[in-house]
Amino acid sequence: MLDKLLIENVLQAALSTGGDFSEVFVEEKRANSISITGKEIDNANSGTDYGIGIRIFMGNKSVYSYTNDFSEKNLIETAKKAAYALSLEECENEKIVLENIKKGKNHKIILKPYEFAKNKKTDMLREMTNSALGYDSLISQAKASIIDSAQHVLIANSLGTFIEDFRTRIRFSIHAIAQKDTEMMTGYRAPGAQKGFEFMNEIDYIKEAKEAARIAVTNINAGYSPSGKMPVIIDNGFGGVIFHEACGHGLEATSVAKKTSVFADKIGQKVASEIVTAIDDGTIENGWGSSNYDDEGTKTRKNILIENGILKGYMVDRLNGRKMGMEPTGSARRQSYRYEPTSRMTNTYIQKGKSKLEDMISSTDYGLYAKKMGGGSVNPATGEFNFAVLEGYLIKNGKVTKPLRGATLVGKGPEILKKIDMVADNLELAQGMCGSVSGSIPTNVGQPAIRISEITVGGRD
Amino acid sequence: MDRNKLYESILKKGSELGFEDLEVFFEEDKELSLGVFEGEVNEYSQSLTKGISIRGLLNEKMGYAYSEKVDEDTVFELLNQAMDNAKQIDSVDREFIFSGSKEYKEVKTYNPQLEKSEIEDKIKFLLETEKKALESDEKVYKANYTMYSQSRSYIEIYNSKGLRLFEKSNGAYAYLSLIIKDQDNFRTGSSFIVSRDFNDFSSDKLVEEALFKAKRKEGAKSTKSGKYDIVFENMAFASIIQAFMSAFYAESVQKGTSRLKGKKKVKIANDLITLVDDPYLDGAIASASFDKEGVCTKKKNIIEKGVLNNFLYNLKTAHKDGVETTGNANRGSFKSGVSTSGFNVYLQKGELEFSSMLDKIGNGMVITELQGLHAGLNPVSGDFSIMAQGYVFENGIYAYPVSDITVSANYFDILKSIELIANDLKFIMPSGEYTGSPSVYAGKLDISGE
Repeated sequence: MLDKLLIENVLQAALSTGGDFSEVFVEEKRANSISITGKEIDNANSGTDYGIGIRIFMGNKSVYSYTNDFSEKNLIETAKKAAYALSLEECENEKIVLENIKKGKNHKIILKPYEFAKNKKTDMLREMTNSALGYDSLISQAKASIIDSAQHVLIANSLGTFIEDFRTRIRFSIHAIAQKDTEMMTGYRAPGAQKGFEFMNEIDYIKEAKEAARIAVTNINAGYSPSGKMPVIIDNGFGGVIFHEACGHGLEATSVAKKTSVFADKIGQKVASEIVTAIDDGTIENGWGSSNYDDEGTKTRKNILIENGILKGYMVDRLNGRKMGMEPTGSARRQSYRYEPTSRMTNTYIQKGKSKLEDMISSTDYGLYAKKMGGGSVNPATGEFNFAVLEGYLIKNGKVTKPLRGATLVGKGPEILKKIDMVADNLELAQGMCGSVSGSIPTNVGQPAIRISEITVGGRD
Repeated sequence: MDRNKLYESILKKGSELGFEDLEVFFEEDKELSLGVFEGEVNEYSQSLTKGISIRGLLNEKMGYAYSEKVDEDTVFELLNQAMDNAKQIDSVDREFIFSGSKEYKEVKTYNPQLEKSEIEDKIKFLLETEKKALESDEKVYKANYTMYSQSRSYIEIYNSKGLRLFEKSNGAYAYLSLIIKDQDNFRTGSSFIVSRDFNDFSSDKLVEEALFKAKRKEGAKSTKSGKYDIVFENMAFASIIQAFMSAFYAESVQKGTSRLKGKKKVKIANDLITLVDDPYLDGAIASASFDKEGVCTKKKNIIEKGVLNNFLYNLKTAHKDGVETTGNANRGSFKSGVSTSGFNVYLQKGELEFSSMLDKIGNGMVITELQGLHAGLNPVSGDFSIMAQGYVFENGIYAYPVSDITVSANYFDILKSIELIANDLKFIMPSGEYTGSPSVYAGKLDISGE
């Protein structure tokens, strides 16, 4: 995409005013999206993102600049302009020589997205909405989409790092709407992977479409959830959004370095119950949140965040690492070249435990069984989080009883982690998009089923 | 590179390829983002980017393609991709490339002064804001975000029906979030200013509001679950209105994802409710002369005295309903297809002072902040169950703050049950629409706490 010598010159120009570190992130991303509403394919779009982000450090300060004009003149000018933002004094600096390029080898793709016919996708989309619409007479509408992208990046810095990485991802979504008179409720599924089109051949998307419809029908027949503090059992897969919001964001150096996270200065302390071990692993093969190298060119790795309840480490990027006196953990990520990278999650999950889901339910007198979770959010400075329950049931006398709709779980991260009193053995990961200061990025969340002894449930009773 | 020549070559090649009509949408953006933390600049980002999108009609079906490489070579590839995409569409709905409106109302969307003022002045403003925030109260722990962001956008629409439109717009916002230590808890308070005029950016204003919002949470804790008389403070209700805007798009109604289907000219809200979409609101950030299809915009009452007047339309959805477009076509950026959006949308304010409103109600709860709106709501059913903060009032006076609660209700039911509207109209940070609302009394709603 860009000549090695030109990159070296840009890195050097960036240090022309005394900066001590410079980095370039070159990105070309080709994306396709196609969607269906009911029985009609109604939207098809595709395109190419193409740009370069230049970053310069001077101590703990950084400046960032990005452009999609790749002419040598513009790149050098952009680098120099960014350098002047740090300091107006020009100075001599050494020539930069990059290492031999290292290429990411894992996360293999079999069927490249832009090498197969679009009509295969449209056939699959029709099958999905047909399955959802045909599931039950209560289903009034179904929408589905397939989005795939192939990202090609070059990352280089003044330390000599020179990386090339490819990240190819595909994800489909199916939404079903159930209707009774004027009432409407939804169900959806949205699996994805860092794979090529083979993902669509491997996954049973018809089963997922029927599952989306089943959730919508369950919800339209459900009464409102009760309110108050009670035990809640959160099932596996996307239930992992609990940890993502309650704790994950608070462990990113993004806020820890500023000491504006409730988990700052807590390494070595007990932050969760002893049965909780939580991991962020950027190396999971073909994982939705994985990559060979992070967006600063550091190799990704498996980071143990919490072990048996004790806080072991944070997710650290280069700049915040400087501020914290810690080495980067391969956690620097960004939505695109338009964003400065910062520490983010990749594939984050609670390790499987020893309990069985059946025992968790049978040992709960009265509570909520959150079978499927929706999204959530957190304020890392205060630890306050919230998540939506997508499919829930009332537990009474140790049995799952009537379905409930519209429940929200709220609380404070550090408190909730200590209230996890059972962890099951059915670990599963699920795909999501995470938004934060460096943009929207694909992340896996995950866990086995867990029981929280007491949490505030927002309902309508 | 002469862009007009490039556009002509695209239209010519597109026609040769078989497109009935073709449109080029060009966008160039200049952005500046600054942030300070503990007396130092911790964010400094500048950029100049551009991109081009081609959309074309084949058998009245639209295919799209975009690229951030804007040159002769990518043009062929884009045309082929757009053609391939158009072939996939089998929707029976007609799509359109527009030849232009008879007239466009001139709207001020660009202030050159904003770009002329020095970056140094903006940094000084941020440093001053943070310093004042930290010194404003002994309980202030840190200012976790002190930010300024400025953008200038230039778009060109050039199509085979002869439409030639261009628009230059700019704007900026400043955002402050501070943290106070409240015994074992941290409380945050934030404020922002959105404007095209740098003179509007006042450190004192930002600090005063952020501190006030943080301090009124001091001592807040959860409360008994139950039904309370609920007042939504202006910004909190504005965020709810914004979250449910898609229910008013004809697109959602036609796709079967809006509860407002069949409700045109039906009373869907209390008499007091008038919801306005105003693309000409003076100084407002989302004002525009034409929508993203090039159709002239117009001011309209979406809801008028409780009656649903009209949905928001673009050319495709208007044709499907056999009505005129309302000029509400939107494109998130040149990378997205045409969808729908309002511009400056607000609930018309009432006559009542906020304090008089609390007096009239007597006892209840004011919801001041909502968190996790996107997760806790169902845009189709109107149900929401959202984490909230606020305060209880007794005999019309502030009594004590509450936190760690959720408020659960249905948006469409609330529109019917709003009994009182205050005169304190305020807008929130733009996200899609630029949305505003006065404080409203929504009747008895469910609060979950202990």
